[in-house]
Amino acid sequence: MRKSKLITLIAFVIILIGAIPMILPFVWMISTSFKSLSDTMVFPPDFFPKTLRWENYTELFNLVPIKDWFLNSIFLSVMNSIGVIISSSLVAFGFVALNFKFKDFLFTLLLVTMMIPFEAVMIPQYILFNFFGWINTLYPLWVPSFFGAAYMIFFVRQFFKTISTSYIDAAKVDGANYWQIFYKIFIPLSYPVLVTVGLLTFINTWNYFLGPLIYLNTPSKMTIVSGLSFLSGQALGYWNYIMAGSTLAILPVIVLFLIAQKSIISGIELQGGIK
Amino acid sequence: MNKKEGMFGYIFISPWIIGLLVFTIGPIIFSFILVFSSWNLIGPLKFVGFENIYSIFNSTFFWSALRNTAFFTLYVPISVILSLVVAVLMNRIPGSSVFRLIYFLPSVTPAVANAAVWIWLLQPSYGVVDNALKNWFNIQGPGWFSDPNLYIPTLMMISIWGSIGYNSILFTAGLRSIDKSIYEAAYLDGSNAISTFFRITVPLISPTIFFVTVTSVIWSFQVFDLAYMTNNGVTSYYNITLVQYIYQLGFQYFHIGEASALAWILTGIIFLITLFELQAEKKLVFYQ
Repeated sequence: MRKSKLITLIAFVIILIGAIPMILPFVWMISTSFKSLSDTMVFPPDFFPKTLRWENYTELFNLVPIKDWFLNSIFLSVMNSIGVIISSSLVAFGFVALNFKFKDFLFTLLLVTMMIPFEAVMIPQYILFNFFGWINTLYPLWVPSFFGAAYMIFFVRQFFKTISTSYIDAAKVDGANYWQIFYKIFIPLSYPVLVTVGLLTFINTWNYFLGPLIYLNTPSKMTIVSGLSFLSGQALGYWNYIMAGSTLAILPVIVLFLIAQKSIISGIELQGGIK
Repeated sequence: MNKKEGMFGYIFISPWIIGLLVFTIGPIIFSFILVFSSWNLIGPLKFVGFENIYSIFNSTFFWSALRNTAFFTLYVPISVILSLVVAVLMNRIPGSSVFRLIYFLPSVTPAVANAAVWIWLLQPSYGVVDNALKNWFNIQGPGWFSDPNLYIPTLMMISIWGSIGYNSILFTAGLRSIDKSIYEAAYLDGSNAISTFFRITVPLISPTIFFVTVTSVIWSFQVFDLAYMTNNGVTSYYNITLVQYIYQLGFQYFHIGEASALAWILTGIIFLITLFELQAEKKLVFYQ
């Protein structure tokens, strides 16, 4: 058994050493965000600045509309989460609990659309939203979520399938209609899954870059992520400002992850096991 | 199946049906028209036959973008191997939940912010990495992002860093599903740690290894955020990736037809890779 303890010790040391490059960039990001410009280039560097220069943050708020970016990102993340939860649970319920013509064909179609990369529809979608007059608005970035995300429909369906059909039959005998079966039985039984779907959607929306980059042109309309890309072009060389912006961009997702890591990790694990 | 149930079925799936028609099928049909048209979003649409496809295949940018993207994809096997090692090691140490959290951080933070901090870390001469190389080892730091030969390897390194946490969570789930008694039997038979890993762990989680590899390869062909952030007028145009080239053609030069053609070429490549990997799955993956 001593040999096995030695292996555990070696494993611990390897994981510990590996953890350093994982976390150090974030420490460096936050540390730079509190330095004066001249201090950012000093070597050897102070990992913990002697004085915290909070002004970087207040100056950043004056330099770019970062408050708007924040509110836009929160709005989009919340709306997408709501949209995906509502649409994917409705559609998944239809596929699991009800029988209708062409159901198998439509479900196959759903699986096929999961394989179509966003790039294939990116340009025509842009033209469509341009036709709607939605360029430089937030609409193209949240309205589609209310019309179902194929992947999340599939994800919710996998869970709905585990709900026994005897519930449905019993409810029908009691005179419940499909709508009641949906929101009185299926929804309460799948709260944890729907929370996971919402959290994953929130994080994905928060981190999303290509869509906001294409659709949002004026600085005040941008999200924190597309704004950060804009900022790094504007504040060229002012790494304290760019790192302050980066810190603000990563903080909410990290906090959310720390609060809800069990739910998020179980969602990711389920994704891996779906195949 | 009664009529009323059928009607309700369609009502419940109607959001998806509408979304499918408006946001997927409609755009796909329109996109096929665009592939054979010349258009700049404003003027009239002109039919040009296969001209867009020809001009893509004749463009040196396309071939360098394809080469860069394919080269970049090679980070996937490295990340898969490292993630598997991390998952196996974490499985047997105390405090693994804290480490899992740390390793996962780069996977949960926005790629744009990750790119920003790496650009700062790897800044030529006054970035902390180059400073350390110079002051401690007297080595002149290379141009991580500006040297054309080093650019893609740098992106690969950042992507490995950003994907180990996510992948190792998938592997941890795979490891957990392995029956412990198999390991006990192997131990009693005198199997050492290395041979247990290669003869038991790897075959038993090969479905997870396969899944992670397939999805990672598909994602890596769609790399954009990191490429856009690190190569926005900084290095040469020959360092672009495929999606970045679609973005440039479509949204910077408004060559809508060529951009659509390229988007379909990329989609075709992704389908081919998926088909190829599904073929490989039959030979390589061990299902219990």
